[in-house]
Amino acid sequence: MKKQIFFVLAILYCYNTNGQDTTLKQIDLQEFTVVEFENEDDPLNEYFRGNRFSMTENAMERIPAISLISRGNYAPEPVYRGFSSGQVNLTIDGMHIFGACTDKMDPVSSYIETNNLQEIEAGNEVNCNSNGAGLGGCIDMKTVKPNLTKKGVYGSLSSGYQTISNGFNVATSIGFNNKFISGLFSGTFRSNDNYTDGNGNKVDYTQFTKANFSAKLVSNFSNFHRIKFDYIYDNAWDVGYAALPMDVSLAKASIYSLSYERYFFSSSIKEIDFTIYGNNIYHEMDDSQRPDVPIRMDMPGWSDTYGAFANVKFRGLNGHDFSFKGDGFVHFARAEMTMYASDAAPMFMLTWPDIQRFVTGLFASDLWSVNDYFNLDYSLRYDYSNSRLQNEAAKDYLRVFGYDVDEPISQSIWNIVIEPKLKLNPLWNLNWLAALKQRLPTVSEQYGFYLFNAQDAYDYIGNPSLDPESALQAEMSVNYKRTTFNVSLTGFYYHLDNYIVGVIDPDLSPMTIGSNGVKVYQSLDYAYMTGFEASAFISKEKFSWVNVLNFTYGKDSNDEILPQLPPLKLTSTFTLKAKNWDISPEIVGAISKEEIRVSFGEKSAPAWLIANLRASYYLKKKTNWTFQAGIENIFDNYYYEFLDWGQIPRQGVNLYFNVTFQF
Amino acid sequence: MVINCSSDIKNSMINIQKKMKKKYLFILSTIVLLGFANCNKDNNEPEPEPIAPVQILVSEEYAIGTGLKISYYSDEDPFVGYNKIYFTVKDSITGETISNDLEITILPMMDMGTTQHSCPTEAVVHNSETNQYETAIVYVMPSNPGTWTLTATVINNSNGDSGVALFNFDVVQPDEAKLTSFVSNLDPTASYFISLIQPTDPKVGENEFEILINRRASMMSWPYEPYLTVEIDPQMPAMNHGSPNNVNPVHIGNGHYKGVANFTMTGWWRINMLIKDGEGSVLTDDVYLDITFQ
Repeated sequence: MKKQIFFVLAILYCYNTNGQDTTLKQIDLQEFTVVEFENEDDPLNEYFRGNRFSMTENAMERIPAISLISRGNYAPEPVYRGFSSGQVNLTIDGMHIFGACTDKMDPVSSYIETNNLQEIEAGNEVNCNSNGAGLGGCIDMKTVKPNLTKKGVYGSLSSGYQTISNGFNVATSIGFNNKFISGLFSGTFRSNDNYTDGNGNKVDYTQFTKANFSAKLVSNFSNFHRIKFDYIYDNAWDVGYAALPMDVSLAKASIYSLSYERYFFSSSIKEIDFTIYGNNIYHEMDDSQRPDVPIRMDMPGWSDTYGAFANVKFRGLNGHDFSFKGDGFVHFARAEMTMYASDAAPMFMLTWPDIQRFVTGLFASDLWSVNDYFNLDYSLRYDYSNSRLQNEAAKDYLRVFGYDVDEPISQSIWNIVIEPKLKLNPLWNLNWLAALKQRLPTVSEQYGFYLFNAQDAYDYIGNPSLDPESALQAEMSVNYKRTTFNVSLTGFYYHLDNYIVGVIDPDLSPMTIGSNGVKVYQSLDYAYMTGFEASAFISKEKFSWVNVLNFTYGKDSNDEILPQLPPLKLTSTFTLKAKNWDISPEIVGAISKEEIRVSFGEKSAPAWLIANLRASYYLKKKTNWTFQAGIENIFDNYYYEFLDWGQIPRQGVNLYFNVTFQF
Repeated sequence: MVINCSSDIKNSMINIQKKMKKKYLFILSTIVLLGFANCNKDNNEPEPEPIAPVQILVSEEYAIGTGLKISYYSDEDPFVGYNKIYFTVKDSITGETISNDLEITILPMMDMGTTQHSCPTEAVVHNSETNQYETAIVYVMPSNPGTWTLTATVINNSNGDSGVALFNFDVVQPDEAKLTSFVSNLDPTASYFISLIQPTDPKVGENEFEILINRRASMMSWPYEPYLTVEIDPQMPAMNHGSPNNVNPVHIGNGHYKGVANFTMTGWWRINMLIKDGEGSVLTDDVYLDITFQ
């Protein structure tokens, strides 16, 4: 039984670096994982998921190097070290998936519930590129799989309430195992009204309601072959976006995949697997709740992606650990805008004019244990992409700007990562990373048509002739590890070429009413990005203490600071543990951000600090009960983060209660 | 992990490994190749074939004295603006279409009771492909009050016959005006008429923009104006924005000016025009044509 668990875990964590100590989960700053319900013994669990009520992105934000750009109270956009959206490869179980909103209101993390998640793997190490090119790193949300070790039927039901938004959530999951098949079904429902800020004022347009359902089936007839089917359906409605001129009336996603896995126990190949998948997202912006709009608009968007990938993982041979992956997908994007004026015919245009993008890639990596002191991990990835507008009417849009879009655009990118790792002695590790990273322009950057950016109030136009963004990355990290005490410091530097940014075109007149003008995506000569992540982590029997510090800085060739770089931020979580309960005070804060990118419409932000207090009580008998209560923003501070658009204040003091019942 | 085995077994294991590696790399490369195959497929829809508009019969009359029946066809019912006109001429006895050797001159007249006047016309030209005689008339006002007639004088060069056909029909004001006029800033007696020729089927993207400009020299004389410069500024009045990369119309002959108007979306567009004379003096900056489409 234990062997089976270990084996299953080994399969799941095969991306981990060598020399992993399986008794205590180490923090490796280049790779972080979030563990869900099952593993409450994980000392990091309190740090990542102290509040069971929290959304996927709140857990993600705890990962070092990750910040969130917030446009409201829903669907914030993950930022990795200052790299955002098109620069970060955000995937679900390695599947490519893209939002359906031209204004980035739906990063795909918003379609995954914490109930769907097993772990989040984020970082920029060698194996990150197996899922695709990501200039600034990768975030792979790994969905929960049926627990093959449980007998019969198992599951959980959890329910919570929070005062700040009259928010209610309920989540349930039910799994079963039998000789032939294992299954896991889960559902989540959340409902939140507008919340109140630290000054006691209601913040309008911060409400949301959503439901999520997922089904997972795994075949059990053999330990050599497995067939898996996954399905997630996520539907949010009546979602407010306080920092934007529009809300969302409906955002729904269907995500599905079918996999075949083959395990080998006595050959050089450890595993091969093959997955075919698809996802369909529909997103509808809506301004009917806003009283004063210059012009009413309907803005639906569609994003459909279909793909397949195959992995071959080799058993260790002479210290080498090879892995290969082939991957292809096709992505369709369409977004419409219809404007209604009282004295005119409706005005219709496409803002994503029937875009089709096809990408295929090959990936190879080796985690080479050269000797007991030195590992050399390296990987190579090549992607080929072919993007086009699907019909003449779509091409006519971009032709208005004099672009030649008759033929598809073909681009190739390379990603090469080398990570030497030195074990100086049992306590000290020194890791380096050198990489060439490239990423394709996003479909918005290539073919976008009058995409309004609320941050700087400019209409953005795509540029089909953009080159891929390219980065040379150098990184060094120092780790000090004892069994119960870890300290880690990672410093990084990126030299960016062909940095893609919107540049004002004074000859173009804006389209959106209230817009300041038009920017066209261009490539800047170069830019640089630098910073560090530091963490200190103590885990003893009676208490644990996690501290994480993040900082990023960078400028472009015009000597202007890069956009959306979060200021120095600290999270410090202390947890006092006893047999049946734990209590966890924590502080989170950031220094002020004074140096801003004026051309992006950024505003400086003051320093802020909040304190949270969480407590859990566990009742473990035949069934497990967990009672959670907490106070967030204990002192009712009025604050907002630099990356919060429109300086919309965050929640004031919030009391929450959760009850979870597991069987 | 250390493997202890003899070199023989080791070699054969290595061979097996190589074979297995090849097998799975083959599968990988098949996936990639399938991908490449996909991108070679031509997924573009074929361009729709332009359909020739069906001509409407406006009126049919005999050219008395020639034994010929003249049918007046047009793309639409006569309207205020630039009307493309097609005459089919048939022998009134045999029904045979007469293909050439005819000279046709036309004179449209508006009878308002107290006054009569004509309007701009173009030369009648024979189209050998369609066997029709083509011309264009800019009806400058609708019927009611007043009546429009069109007199076609036909000279048959093959037999020397000549005669006149008189057509009666109604001219309507379209929902969206296809004709606009202005008085010159420099000369209050000079009236100009701008009629829209293209686009007939506006779309999002680049549209050929073609207009005809005539001057009213007298009640009977409406010559075309070839010496003007025209600058266009398409705007959407409901949203107060324009479009990029428009091309100002230039004179291409017979008073026709042709350029490019870009529409970034469907809806109501107003093509504002700035008209100057040959020396650059502004005749008007306050004239426009509306184009609304779905």
